[in-house]
Amino acid sequence: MNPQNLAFKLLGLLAPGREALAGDLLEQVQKGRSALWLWRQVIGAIVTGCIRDVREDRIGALKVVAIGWATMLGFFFIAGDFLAHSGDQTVPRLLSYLGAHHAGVLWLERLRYVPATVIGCVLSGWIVGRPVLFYAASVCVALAVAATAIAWYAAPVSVPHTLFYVVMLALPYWWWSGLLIVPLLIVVGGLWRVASSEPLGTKGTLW
Amino acid sequence: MVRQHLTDFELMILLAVLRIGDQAYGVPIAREIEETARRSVLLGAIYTALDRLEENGLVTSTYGDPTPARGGRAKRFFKVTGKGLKAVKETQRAFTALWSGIPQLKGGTA
Repeated sequence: MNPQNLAFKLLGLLAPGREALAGDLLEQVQKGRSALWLWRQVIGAIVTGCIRDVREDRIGALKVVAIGWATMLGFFFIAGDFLAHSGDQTVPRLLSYLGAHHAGVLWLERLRYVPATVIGCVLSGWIVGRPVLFYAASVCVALAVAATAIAWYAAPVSVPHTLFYVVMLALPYWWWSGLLIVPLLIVVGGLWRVASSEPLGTKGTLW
Repeated sequence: MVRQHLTDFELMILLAVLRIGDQAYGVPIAREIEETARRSVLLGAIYTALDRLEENGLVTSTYGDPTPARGGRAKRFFKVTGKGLKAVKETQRAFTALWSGIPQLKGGTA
């Protein structure tokens, strides 16, 4: 899929019912507008659409955020330790094989927490990514809470156990990646759900 | 609650639709605002504002025929309603009233 088709696909998934807008954008691209222009328009349309939908149903948006975070933290609480400890043997062996210990790259051991983080975030996006809703609110709050968790981590103040896996992707070495990866994973989960569901319409409550 | 006055962006859109006439859809509306008001706008933001204006009864929209150049998608044409025209006039009146009597804005010395 080329970048132009991807932009239109994203627009269809994240801003459903905007057929006239998609037509306008295609018309302009065929008249010579750049790919950068197209992406700016698509991202702008998604953001303005999300803001509109959240404003129309603030309570529903709050529910989405709560459900998304409850799913993520519940998953971390239930399965996080199991997934993290399942790498107890393999990760040190792999690091030893790679010579990481000799090189002093011990933080790579934290990679064992990545599966739990990835699955938890994607699952949370999948749960809230119903066809008629936008999960931008969850993403924004994910961003905010991840940032808060980083602040706690950096303080250093102990963080709640279930937030540990969120923080793991925001290690000092990967400082900014945590801010991007957590919401990105939620979006991926949401897109997965939206793409695999029948659209229910263009209007409706967020939840 | 329906607002009595328009935001500056909504006012620009309504004025652009009025200036364009029958062929007012997303692209010409954006072009009109960019060329006349010298303000860069996103098409998505224009449609979001137009949806809101339509919900408040200030504009109506109709779909044209789908064309191959648009990937089989129809144009959405907008028209300002009587209520919309009244809202534009009321906003103009409010702005004009606010404008008058400000010494700094007299004689182009703002």
